[in-house]
Amino acid sequence: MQVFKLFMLILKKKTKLIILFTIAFMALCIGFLFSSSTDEKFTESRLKIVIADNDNTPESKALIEYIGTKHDIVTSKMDIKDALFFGTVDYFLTINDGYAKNLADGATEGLFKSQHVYESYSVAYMSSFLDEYVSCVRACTAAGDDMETAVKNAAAAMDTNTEVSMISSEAGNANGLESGKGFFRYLPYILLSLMISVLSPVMMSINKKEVRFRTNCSAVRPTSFMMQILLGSVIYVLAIWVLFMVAGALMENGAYSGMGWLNLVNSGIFAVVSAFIAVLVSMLLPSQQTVNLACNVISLFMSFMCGVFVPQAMLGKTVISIGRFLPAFWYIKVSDMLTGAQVFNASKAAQYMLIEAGFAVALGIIAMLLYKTKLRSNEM
Amino acid sequence: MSDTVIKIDSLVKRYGELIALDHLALEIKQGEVFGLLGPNGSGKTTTINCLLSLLSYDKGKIQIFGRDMSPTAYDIKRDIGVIMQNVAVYDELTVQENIDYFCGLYIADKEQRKQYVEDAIKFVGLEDFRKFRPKKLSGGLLRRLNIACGIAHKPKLIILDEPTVAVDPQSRNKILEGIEELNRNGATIIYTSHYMEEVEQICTRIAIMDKGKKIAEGTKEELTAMIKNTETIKVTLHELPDEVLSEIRSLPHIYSAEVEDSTLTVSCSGGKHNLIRVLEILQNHDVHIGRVTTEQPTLNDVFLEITGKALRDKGE
Repeated sequence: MQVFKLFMLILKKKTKLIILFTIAFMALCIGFLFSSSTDEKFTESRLKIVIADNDNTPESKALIEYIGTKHDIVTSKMDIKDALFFGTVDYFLTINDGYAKNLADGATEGLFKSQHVYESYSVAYMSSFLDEYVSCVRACTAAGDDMETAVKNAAAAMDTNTEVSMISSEAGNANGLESGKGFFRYLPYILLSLMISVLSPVMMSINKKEVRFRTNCSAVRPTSFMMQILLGSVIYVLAIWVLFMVAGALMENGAYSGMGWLNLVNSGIFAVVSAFIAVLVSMLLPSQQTVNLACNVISLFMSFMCGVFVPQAMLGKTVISIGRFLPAFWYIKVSDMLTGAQVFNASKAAQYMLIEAGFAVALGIIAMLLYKTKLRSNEM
Repeated sequence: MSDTVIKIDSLVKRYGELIALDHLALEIKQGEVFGLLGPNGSGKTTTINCLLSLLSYDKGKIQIFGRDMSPTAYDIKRDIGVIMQNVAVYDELTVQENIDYFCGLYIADKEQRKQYVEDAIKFVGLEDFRKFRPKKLSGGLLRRLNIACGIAHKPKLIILDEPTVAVDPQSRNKILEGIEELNRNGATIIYTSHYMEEVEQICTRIAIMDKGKKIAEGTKEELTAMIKNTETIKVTLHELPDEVLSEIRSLPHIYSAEVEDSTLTVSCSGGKHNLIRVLEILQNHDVHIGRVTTEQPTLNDVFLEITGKALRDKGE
């Protein structure tokens, strides 16, 4: 087991790198975990509005009253432009003379005038609010309400809250699948990084031409040599996978409950795929100095193209088409099902994981062929 | 039991149209320091690679310790130590770890290996550097580590392929002394080099190779006896009239006399007192002479006479 011991000895020299990567990844995940809890909540903001009522009718008063329930109606002693400039007022609304009459006639234009900061969010917000109000009043009058009732009903309709819920998310919750959304989503990046930056240099070091030459002259059989390296690699991949699965369990409560156990399978397959990528990298790169560059290029490229950092739903068609040819794409597909971003479908999940496994097999075959080609070229 | 360690019969190795080894035949006996001498590209390393079954060959037969050598002849490989031109050690391991690893490829017993590693460290004089990584070692120390990794398992046959390339003179001497000691301890050595001085210094028998062929074989004395030249006289002088040069050329046993860069070079073939006769002629014609030297023929002369070219290019 001399070669296996050598593998472990060289791997031991990479411990600092492994710890560094793990800590950085955990810190990143913890950061995302905390930030995601606030990202998903929305609060209505109240604008400071100055209103000039030139119509002075019950309808305009009703509008002012309704605006008052949603925003803060303020008065300003400053010039309105100064007030807008200094931010003491967000919006200056003028209800035009003839508002009630025009509204009753079904007009939608010329009801209001406004002064505001150019292209501020308050403009969009207030314009949308007024449009919605006018549309509601018109809908009520069209339904046969008189003006007084229409104004009341419009305000009531606008106050109605509609419960919106994500069907797939609910399904996820029911199966305990929503766990691990941050941690398992980013896992391909760290697995690729750890495999390429650690396993590739170890492989390159062991297979350095001069030392391989010396080993080939020795009494060690090539199959034994290969098997010992394989054993070392399997132990490393297994150790990294276990480490991150334990971390997943600690960071995400109930990560493996319900169908969540599929996270174990999905990440396990991806760890194997990453290991084969690392083996290929070790065979193709000319020197160990280029490993870090290759590691960054591969892990970042795959992460961005496959939806690790940005959800797949937000990726362009071209990116998606390229991503299909990368294993992380299918990992994320399964992960999205498990976190509830997509409807869970057991047969599809199995199909996606099989595609991932297919990548592992293909990469393994390519690695074998490359190894044989290299052996032949060394003989030349 | 035969004392032949290596027997190579009519070995042919082709790289496409190029014939790297052309019906090479060698026989190396137990306890010899056998030198393979030849210019770069003459086929020395190819011979070693075929010998170790690292290269397949087109024709011929190789026997080591009386058994056919093949890639799966692990019992034969167990008794061979290899030290190649390029330093082959792991940068991540210390001196001791490196020697232990390579020794462990042959010796399974932990206690025995520990002793062997210690012996190898002492042999190459790396006691003070056992915890050093290779990158911290100087070029000479690195070469010594390379040798230690190749001989730690105490092989019966040691193959050294140009182990002193790019090594300072002090380290080179240390390495050559080490090889002689290994031979005294019972190992048969194959030493390849294009430095004839090294081969002359340590090898008991020498084969000279060129273009994949063995062009001569024997002891140094046997090889030099093969050629016409027995002595070369060199005299530095200011000017030499043509009639004096003609007189020197007419002397018996002198087959060549040339003046180049104010140096008279006279090549002799047998005979006695050639130097005295040459000096007498110069004195009789009042030729002012400077430094006078005589040289015995070298392996380079042997190579030059057989192939018509020098063993090493100038500057090599």
